[in-house]
Amino acid sequence: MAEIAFYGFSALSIGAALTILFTRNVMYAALCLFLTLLGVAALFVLAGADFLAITQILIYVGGVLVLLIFGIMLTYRPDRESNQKKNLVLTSHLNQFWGGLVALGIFGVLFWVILNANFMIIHSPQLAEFTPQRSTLRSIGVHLMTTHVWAFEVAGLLLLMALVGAAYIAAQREK
Amino acid sequence: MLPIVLLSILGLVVLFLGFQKSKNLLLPATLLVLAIVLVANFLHWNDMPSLYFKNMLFENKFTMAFSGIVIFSAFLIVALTRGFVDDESAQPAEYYTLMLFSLVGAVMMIGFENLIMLFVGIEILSVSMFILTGSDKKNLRSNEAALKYFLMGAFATGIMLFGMALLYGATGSFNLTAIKGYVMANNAPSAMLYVGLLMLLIGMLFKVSAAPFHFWTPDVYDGAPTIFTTYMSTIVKTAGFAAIYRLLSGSFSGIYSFWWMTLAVITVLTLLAGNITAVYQTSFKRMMAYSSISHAGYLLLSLTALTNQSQSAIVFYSLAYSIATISAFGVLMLVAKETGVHSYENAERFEAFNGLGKKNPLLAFVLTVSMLSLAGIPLTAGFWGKFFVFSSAADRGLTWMLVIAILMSTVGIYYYFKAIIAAYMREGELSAIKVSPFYRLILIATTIITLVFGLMPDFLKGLV
Amino acid sequence: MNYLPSDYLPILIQLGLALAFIVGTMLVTHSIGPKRNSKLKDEAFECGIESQGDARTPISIKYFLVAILFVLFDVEVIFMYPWAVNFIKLGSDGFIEMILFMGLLLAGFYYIIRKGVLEWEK
Repeated sequence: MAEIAFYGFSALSIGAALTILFTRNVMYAALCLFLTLLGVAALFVLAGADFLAITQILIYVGGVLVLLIFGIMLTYRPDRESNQKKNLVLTSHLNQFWGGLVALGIFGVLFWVILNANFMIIHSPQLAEFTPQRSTLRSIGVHLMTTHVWAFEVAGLLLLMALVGAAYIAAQREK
Repeated sequence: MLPIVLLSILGLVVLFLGFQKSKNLLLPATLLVLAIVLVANFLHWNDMPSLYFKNMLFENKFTMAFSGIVIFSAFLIVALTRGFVDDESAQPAEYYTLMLFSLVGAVMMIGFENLIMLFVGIEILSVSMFILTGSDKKNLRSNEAALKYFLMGAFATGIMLFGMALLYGATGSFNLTAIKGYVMANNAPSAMLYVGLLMLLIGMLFKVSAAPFHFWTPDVYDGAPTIFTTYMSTIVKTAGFAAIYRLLSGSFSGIYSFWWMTLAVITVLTLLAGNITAVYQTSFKRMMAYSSISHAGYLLLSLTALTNQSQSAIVFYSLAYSIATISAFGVLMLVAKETGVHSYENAERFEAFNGLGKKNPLLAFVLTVSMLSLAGIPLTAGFWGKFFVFSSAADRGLTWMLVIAILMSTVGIYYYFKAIIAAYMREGELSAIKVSPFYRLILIATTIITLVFGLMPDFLKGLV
Repeated sequence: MNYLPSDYLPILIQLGLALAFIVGTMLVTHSIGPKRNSKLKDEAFECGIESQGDARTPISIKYFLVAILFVLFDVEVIFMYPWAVNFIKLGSDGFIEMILFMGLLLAGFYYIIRKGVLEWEK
């Protein structure tokens, strides 16, 4: 059952990702990104990372994607003169050969690395005495607020900075 | 690690000071903050090296010296902003706050002990730079530069993050000491470790604009407002090199033979790309962008060598480079404002300096000293910077790289002298430029520092 | 690993049902309804008024700003979630840490309000 789900969601993610690559319609690409992110979230669930899956759905699917579509709507200027029947937001594909080559190269290297991977954490003593819990949420919470608390606080600073920056860049020009 | 806490809190204070009617308070307030932080940074100078924030940050003389350089450079640059008085649409409170917050990122990059802190630090520094690059909202080139920087920077961050994940997979830890322990225990590191390190380095080398990841640099440096170009080319670079040094010396010195060739190739590429392209530039600002790439090459040379001397060499080099860059851009800002009145096109080209020596002897002198220091002429700090870097490379026996580096620094002399020649030999209609006393004081200070370190290099070198 | 993706089975079933309902109703309405097309009938209309312009006009940047702020506070809420689950365990230390984090964000929120970024008509 888990395997069927794994392959199903993998196929969903990869298929949608390929559609993003090959479609010329930016709106379709954005909607396919939604499917990809959803599929990846499901894969996170299958890998036991439930908190990551929730984060993925809440932030990427719920927030960033909306922002992306807003971005398209904001910047697209319809070409009223052209006799195009359907008013689509289209892009063109450039440098397909070199881009494809680089992508394939990176894929090859990463694939080889993952195949030969020897994950240290599997041998660690912590994992041996690890008791399976129902959720990773509790241990993430404890680590976030104890060992990694400074990274957490500074992340707050980063968010504040982004807030100030967004207000500065996107605010209406005066007058 | 007082600086991080102080910068965050006082940065907020400066942000809220911006709501006051009068903007005159902002510049002195920011300078005061930076002075306090600079003092706070050196409070623990004589203490033993120690870990802070639950083993997240590390502090010793090296990190303190680097934080000191970064904060001091920021002080000088903020002093040159003159409160953004001539720009009506500017929002100085936001600029100063972003600068102060970005210093938090820089200090974290310098002192990180955990890769998570490195990542957050780089993010803070980069995000603030994206915003400051695009701060001139009415200028199309500034907008373009910001977008370009943002897109490329986002990709570099993604690659870097992937590298960190692979490193975590290979070693089971984000902690520098733990990674070092793994590297020491395993003589033949796995492919995952190597690819992870490579991707992490690519991300970081992008931030310091080493070739072949330098293509964004000229456009971004050229498009950004000059004051923020100064900020980028000094502080981001200094912090970036400190981070790379901490990573390589802290964790991966055990597998030196594994990565040195990669870094050597990048170093040579950077030296060639930076210096040779700089020769063909007609814009002074663009030339400075390429020159910053070439200086990244010299600093990388010292990192590739990674000997005992490298540490003090990169500290000295960063300081000499930052100070000289600040005074060069300081003069450029004055001159560009003056010539910009007549012709916007010429404002940032070499021709803008024509006739500078006659009417403005002080500015011409400041420019000359900074150019000489960047070129590495004796009696300036830049000479000793290069000297230390080269001698660390010689110690490691990297003769062929040394030959290329020396050749390239002679090429450098050619393009730096173009500015000096324009200032003294060419005729121009430049009139006497009014310089406020404070601005003058800062320019004189940077010049004196360059000359003092040129005469007495051991003074600083003995400290670290 | 006896961790339990099967716990998510209800969600999967829900997803399947929702999809099946949508696809099913669309298929059924398309196939059993009569099709009589005419130009007048296919025209987009609103309350009998003829439509004007284009559906894809650029929208105001204010919406974008709101969306950005939404994402930022979304991220903040995600950080609060694991803390809230462990609220008792983390005790007062955790509470103070969270106050600090929230303080930074609320300072940003106060800045936004004071700056008048959220004022729609200015």
